[in-house]
Amino acid sequence: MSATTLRFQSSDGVVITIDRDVAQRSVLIKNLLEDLGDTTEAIPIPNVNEAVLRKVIEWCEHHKGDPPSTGDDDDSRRKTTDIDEWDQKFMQVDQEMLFEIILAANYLDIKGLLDVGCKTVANMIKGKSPEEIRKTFNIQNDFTPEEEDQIRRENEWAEE
Amino acid sequence: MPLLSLPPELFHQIISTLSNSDIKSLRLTCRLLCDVARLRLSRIFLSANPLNIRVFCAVAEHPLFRQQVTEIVWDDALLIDDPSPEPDSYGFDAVIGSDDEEENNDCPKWFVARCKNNLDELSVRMDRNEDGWYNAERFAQRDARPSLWTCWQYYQNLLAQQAEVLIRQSDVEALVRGLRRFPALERITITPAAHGWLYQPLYETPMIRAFPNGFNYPIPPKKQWRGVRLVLRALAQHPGHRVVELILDVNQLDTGLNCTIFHQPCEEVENLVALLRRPGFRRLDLPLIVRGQEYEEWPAFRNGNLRRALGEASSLEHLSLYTTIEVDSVTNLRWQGQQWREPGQRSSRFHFTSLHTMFPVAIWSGLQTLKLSRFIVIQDDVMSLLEQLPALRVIELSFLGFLDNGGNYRDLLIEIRKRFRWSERDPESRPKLIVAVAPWPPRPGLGIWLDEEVHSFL
Repeated sequence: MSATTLRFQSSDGVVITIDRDVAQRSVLIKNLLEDLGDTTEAIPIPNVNEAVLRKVIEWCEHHKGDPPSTGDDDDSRRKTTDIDEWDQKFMQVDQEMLFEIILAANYLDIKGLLDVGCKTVANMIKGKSPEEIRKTFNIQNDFTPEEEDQIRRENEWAEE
Repeated sequence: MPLLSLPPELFHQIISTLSNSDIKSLRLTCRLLCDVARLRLSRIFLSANPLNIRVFCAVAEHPLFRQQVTEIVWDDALLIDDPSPEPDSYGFDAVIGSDDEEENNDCPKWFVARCKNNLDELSVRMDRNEDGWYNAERFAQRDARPSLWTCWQYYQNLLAQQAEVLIRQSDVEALVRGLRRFPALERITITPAAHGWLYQPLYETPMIRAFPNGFNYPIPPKKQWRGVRLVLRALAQHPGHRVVELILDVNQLDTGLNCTIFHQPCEEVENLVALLRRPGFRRLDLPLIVRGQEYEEWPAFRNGNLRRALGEASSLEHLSLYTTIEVDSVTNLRWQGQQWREPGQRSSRFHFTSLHTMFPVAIWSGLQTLKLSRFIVIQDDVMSLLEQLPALRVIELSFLGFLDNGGNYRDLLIEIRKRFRWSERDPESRPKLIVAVAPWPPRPGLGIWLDEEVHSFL
């Protein structure tokens, strides 16, 4: 009988206790547990700090009842940027945190969370002009006028 | 932790949910995003228009973009510069008489009449609200339309450019270059219907995208197939390409390639055969104009040329064969007392062309998709065809006309359900059957698709 809770240590040294089934939303941890067997020691998560780890756990707890994702390339998922209401609220964080969550979801291999994160960023881009995108993400325009012309020309080659 | 520091694979996931127009904006923000946000440019257009040709050639010369192109869409529509006598040969004066824009008097009457006709059709379609969600966009275009005189000026320029392309054959020249320069090219689509309806093109070619907002012009007739001959010839003469799919896209309109090309050996069929014969050739969509064949024992289907051609395509995975037979003609035949009775009887042979006469099923062990539309059939023959193609995953049987005593849709579906027991297979490997029937009253390009209903029945 394996333990029902597990302990994790964030990159900044904080130990957090989590239900086993919540932690297993992460494919990385699921595989790790299979290799480790039972452990009572805190498992280090070197790439994720406490604040981000707590956010990630919050998401996993809310979604622990979700059916496991099927297949890698679900086309219907790719085409839509709809996000359910709870997730939308969950993602209302500053950009720094948003990108940290995406990186953590990628590292911990939590597909559902990674999807929501990427869609959130996509929605911040959708329908905006280049200048508006630069403003949103604090990007410097580093093109020469000639380069910009060339890109405009190339853009004309492709459909909308 | 800024956006720009995300690893590229996460960028690509973000971009995968964006439209090309958002990707275009991203590319214009900064150098780094320009490099990661790759334009979706998998298909490229050609037609007798210098802008389309220029874009085509520019992509063909681009070191990255040229490697993304998998499909060439040949827009076969030619703009007309002369009124054909047919549809609006009447009522010109009445139409012009009701016109209040004086400057239109400088445009040729046929041009004015066609443009007015376009707007009338547009109103009818908008009233029907067939695809309501983008009516608003069309309203906006209609309201922004330039004067007919401006349209005529623009149109004349397009005509002059088209004439020059046709003389120099620079579209064909570009095509040949594309066959060499697009290493991932797999598919050529030829369509006479790119222009669609006013403000509702089927393919947004660079030429069409560059039209002034609200531009009104005579939509080219959808009956020309100059491109088929030229494309087939180019493919035969430059065999270094990797094209394995040929699609003649008529968008369910009553048109296609004239089936009489199969009456006797000719260059088109020979070039088609050369293409079908290539190893790995996997998809053919062939709409055929079939007129009057029902009154002369179906020579195009029965003389063996079609079957011989298809018989070369031994690696075929997808075949769509549409005809323009009016299913009503079955009824007409009934009136003439020509019924299908029992196989073997002389009278039955007159109209009944077994599908096996056209399709070399024995060599098509890998055929996964078979789409048939507008054929005159008997049920037993359809069943026997399906039985011999066990790999089929998608089957379309649309607008079929069943000969008397030759079954009907209802019985066919019951038999399919009984014989194949698809419902017992796991949902992933269950074949999909598509059935469409004509609406009443019939309208060109429209059918009623019954996929859901058929699916739940089976």
